[in-house]
Amino acid sequence: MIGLVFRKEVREFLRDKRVVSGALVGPVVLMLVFVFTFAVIAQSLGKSKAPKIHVVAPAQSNAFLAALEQNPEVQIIRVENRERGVELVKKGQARVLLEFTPEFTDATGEIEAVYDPDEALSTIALRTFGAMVNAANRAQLDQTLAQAGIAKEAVEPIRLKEVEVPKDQKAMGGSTLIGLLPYLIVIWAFYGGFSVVSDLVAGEKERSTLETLLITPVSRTQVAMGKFLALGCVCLISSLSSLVTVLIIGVSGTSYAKALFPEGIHLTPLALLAILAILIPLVAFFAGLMLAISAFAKNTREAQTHLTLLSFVVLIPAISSQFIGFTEAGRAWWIKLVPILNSSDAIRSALLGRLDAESALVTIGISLVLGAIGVITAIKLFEREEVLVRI
Amino acid sequence: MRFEWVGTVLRPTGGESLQWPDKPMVRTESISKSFHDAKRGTIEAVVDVSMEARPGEIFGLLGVNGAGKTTLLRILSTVLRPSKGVAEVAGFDVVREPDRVRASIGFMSTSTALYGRLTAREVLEYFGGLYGLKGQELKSRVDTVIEQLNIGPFANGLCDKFSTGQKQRVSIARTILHNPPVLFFDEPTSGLDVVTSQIVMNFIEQERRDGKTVVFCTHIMSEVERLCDRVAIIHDGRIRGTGTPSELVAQSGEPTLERAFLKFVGELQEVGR
Repeated sequence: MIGLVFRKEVREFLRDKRVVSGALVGPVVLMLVFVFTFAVIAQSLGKSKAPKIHVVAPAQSNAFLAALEQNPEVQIIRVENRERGVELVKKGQARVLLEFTPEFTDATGEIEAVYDPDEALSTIALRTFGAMVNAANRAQLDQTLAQAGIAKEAVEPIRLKEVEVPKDQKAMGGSTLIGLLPYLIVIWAFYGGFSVVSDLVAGEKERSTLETLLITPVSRTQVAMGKFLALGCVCLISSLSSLVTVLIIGVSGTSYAKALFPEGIHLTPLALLAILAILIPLVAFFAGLMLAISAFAKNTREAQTHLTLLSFVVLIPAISSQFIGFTEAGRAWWIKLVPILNSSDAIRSALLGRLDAESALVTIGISLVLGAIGVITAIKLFEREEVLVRI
Repeated sequence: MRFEWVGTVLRPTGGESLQWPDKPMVRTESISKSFHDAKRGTIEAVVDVSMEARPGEIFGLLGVNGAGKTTLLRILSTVLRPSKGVAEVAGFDVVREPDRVRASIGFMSTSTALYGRLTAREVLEYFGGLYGLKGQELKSRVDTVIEQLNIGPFANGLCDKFSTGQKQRVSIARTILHNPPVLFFDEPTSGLDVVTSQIVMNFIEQERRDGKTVVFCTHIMSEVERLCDRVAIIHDGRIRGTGTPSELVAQSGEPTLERAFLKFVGELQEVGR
């Protein structure tokens, strides 16, 4: 009987344009928009690796400028005079203006760099050029020291060597998206069901179909379970569609995919299983909660009002998961105990390839308990005649 | 026609005539139902109602809106539990044996209560499944009611697209799909045009001829006069009078059933002579 109710609900969902657009097409389209926006930004950042640097044409050319013009990491554009160059920087048409002082010889002397500290791109271009100057100075220093027979350690006693931490498992790739993806997965687990749930019970009350259903031999628990499973499926599909869309784009081999995932996608089957294991209890929690609200409400309008309030309760921990990673609180043990936030955090860890079993089990356990409470509440409401027949 | 229990479902076995024991198919004894409302306090929706409906009888519940007819039908169909008293349908107690009661009844209300995004055939298959019909038996019953109610031309159309009359026919088909011995009708012709109303009433008469027990709620006198073998006048949750339409007229001393009704509910003076 549960299967019968489930199949009927799913059939109705698939014929409901609101469900198709809100729960199935919506997440995919939104994810595509996100991915392509990020890809365009990533491509744009990639191209801007060789920033344009304007130079006031010196009276006499020098070896440093000649070397700069040969360097593929910058594009040197000559301007006729300082006034013209400063004007371009002011207007944002030039990022940095260089002017060699008259005393500047081939590779020695002072260079003035005019930039706009309020413009991020101007500051970045200045840093890029500064790094080049440092590198040139370092090369010159090394050469001088070598000629004088002095060891490097005499002028640079402490050196810093950057080493990447070794990982058991590679991160999925596309760090920008990893920050956003868990949030979207969690949010769509809720909003996928949001688009259908008010119709599922409150709508049936309004249309009197629920009463017709209740006078069949099927038990109210079976009716509630059939509806719960159908709702859970919509939530899960809606949620997973975000992830699947990213994966499909990632393996598509397009320029967008290369911009977002320069090293390709590395999502292991284990990480995927972990995400599913975290997501299914969370979906059960959302579905149970939403079904209980729909059963409690007199009509679809009342259900939507309650659900809108609930959506804020869901949004707060989901949004927090976006930022908490940047704070000390992100490493705190209690994060594992906060519903929704813990799921989002665990999904992010799975994507980064660093999910530990303890966190996963605590997160799954909490979601399962809350899911069970939601389902039991919904079933209890289905047993209460004053809730079911009031309209 | 004979019936037998198959699991929780009452099924016809294809005998010659209806073989019900000579006892009421629907019976209530001093049944009451009250609700608690935060604003209005306790509301007595049904008070101390006793009635009986026998096999092959159309029993009318005649009352104004809010009289308690729908509440009484909801108790009989196990949607609501009585606050006190006893109610039995097809010999089963509505509180202790709700599954068997549900399997014995068909319920049709003012609302057609169809799923708009399912086709007529899908609605019938769904409800047939809920009543325990499966496989060939389910298909056969669905085909039978589709033919019986002339649903064929639109059986594969979505219910949302149907006219009111078409919806009502599908609703009737859903009500009788599992061939229940007891049928409840809650103002089934409300909002229908004359032609569709006639179809519904003809159907109810046919069900009586087939030996079914029908409990029919209405506030339309002409329907009571045409259909009902016996009638209970219900007002403010209480039964004010019971009998055949002619007995009620005689008891009231009024010339018509309409005036008899007004006299029973104490509104005759209010509306004027």
